[in-house]
Amino acid sequence: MRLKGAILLILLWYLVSAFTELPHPHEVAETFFILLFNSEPVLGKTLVQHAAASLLRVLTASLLAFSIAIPLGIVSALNRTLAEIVTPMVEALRPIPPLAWIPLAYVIFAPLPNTVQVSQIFIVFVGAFFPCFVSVFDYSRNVPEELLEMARVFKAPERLILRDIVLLHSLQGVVSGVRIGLGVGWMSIIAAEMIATSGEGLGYFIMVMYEVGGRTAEIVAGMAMIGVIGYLMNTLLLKAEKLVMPWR
Amino acid sequence: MALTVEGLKKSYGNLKVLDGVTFSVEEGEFVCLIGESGCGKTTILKIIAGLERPDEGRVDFKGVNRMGFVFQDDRLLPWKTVYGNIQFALKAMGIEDGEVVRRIIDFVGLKGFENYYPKQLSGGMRQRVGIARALAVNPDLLLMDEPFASLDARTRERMQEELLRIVGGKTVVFVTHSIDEAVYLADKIVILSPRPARVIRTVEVSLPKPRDRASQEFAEFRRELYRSFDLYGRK
Ligand SMILES: Nc1ncnc2c1ncn2[C@@H]1O[C@H](COP(=O)(O)OP(=O)(O)OP(=O)(O)O)[C@@H](O)[C@H]1O
Ligand SMILES: [Mg+2]
Repeated sequence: MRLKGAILLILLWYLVSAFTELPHPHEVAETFFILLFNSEPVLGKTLVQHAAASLLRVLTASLLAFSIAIPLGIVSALNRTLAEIVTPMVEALRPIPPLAWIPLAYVIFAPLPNTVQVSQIFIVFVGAFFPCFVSVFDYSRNVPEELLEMARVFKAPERLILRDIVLLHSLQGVVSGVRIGLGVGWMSIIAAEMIATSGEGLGYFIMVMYEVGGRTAEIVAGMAMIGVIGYLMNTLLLKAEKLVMPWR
Repeated sequence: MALTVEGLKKSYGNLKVLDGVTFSVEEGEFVCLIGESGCGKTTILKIIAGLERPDEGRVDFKGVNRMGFVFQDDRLLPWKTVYGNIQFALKAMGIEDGEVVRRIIDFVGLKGFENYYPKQLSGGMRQRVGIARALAVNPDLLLMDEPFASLDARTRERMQEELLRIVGGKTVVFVTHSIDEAVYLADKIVILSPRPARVIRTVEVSLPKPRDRASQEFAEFRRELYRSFDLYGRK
């Protein structure tokens, strides 16, 4: 079934290539595999190097975002006062797409020596933070009442309820929050890299390939790399989910 | 008297569920609550356990320090194994005794399944974990809400026998739909009317235990109960 889907996609691709500027699949594949480990002359870097640069930015920023979003999500879910302060803020900021922050970020972080990097980290942070927070918050807040009732019947102390019920239930929110957050973070970094000179990174690579004269095979090869990495991240995290939560 | 339930009234919004439920349970007595679906049996247990407050009436205990509750739905922690779920009840009391957990697992016939998660168990097995969890705390009062409903007839009979063996002298309030089950288990049967629940009859089951389901007396007792159900149960 999957194979059929892939074949159909490639056929469609050929069809579209016949009528547009879109390079043929085999051209892209060739460029992709050459550039994977051989430097592309304009930027002097391989696709793997660009991917590593983007990944590093995403991981740094996302980890930062998660390390705030997870505890904040849990604590806000348990504390009404905090929830009343935090949720309106989140609801107001969440609908703003990370990319909309880019111009402002460049202005705000202009005084810093590494404005571009800091801005990119900031944008990924924004992208990863909200989905993670919302997921953690929702799970932590919706611990099944039946389980809490059960704990009350057995006179479980608050500490035990927190550890064995609330936190373990929240874990599902943490795990999916991390996965979704990383996905959004990955999209954000590509976009952020397209806007300013970053020296390396897949978004930057694609943008430069466009600027030096519409080198479509390189552009699509870069896009393919983005897709491959996004897919791998998601698959890896789904596998990790099974490991972290063997009961599911 | 271990437990007195007096004049319980309870409504959920406009729905009158309990309309003055009164009965008492002697220490060491096995009492079955029987009544048709939706009449308010679970509600009565929840009020006894302190999970719901009655609109009127009261529940008095004597010599009850620890309560065990076997829920109608199993209410196991999905992220804990069979072992972990039973251990939870002990930890709640501040006891960390692996030996008790193992013995009780053995007792409910789940040996070898210690490390299974609830999702990996059948409905009947999950229910047995719930029973094990309630027994593990060595309760003075055991509340059981149709614990054998999801078991097949044979396992059900075996569990009934074993239950009598384990609960020995414990005070038990046991909810069931099944007249047969009540006649087999109970020292006293409290028959409830359809919603709103009132006690329509309290029957002492004088047959000596262990009871023989195939015996003449058993059959007669059962017939007699069925008759009172027809008289009062279906209005
Ligand atoms: N939390 C609740 N909110 C509103 N109505 C409720 C609630 N709990 C129970 N009820 C209602 O009270 C009535 C009695 O419920 P209860 O669960 O006590 O019945 P039951 O005798 O245990 O039935 P069954 O044998 O099917 O388990 C039902 O009609 C139910 O709809
Ligand atoms: Mg019920």
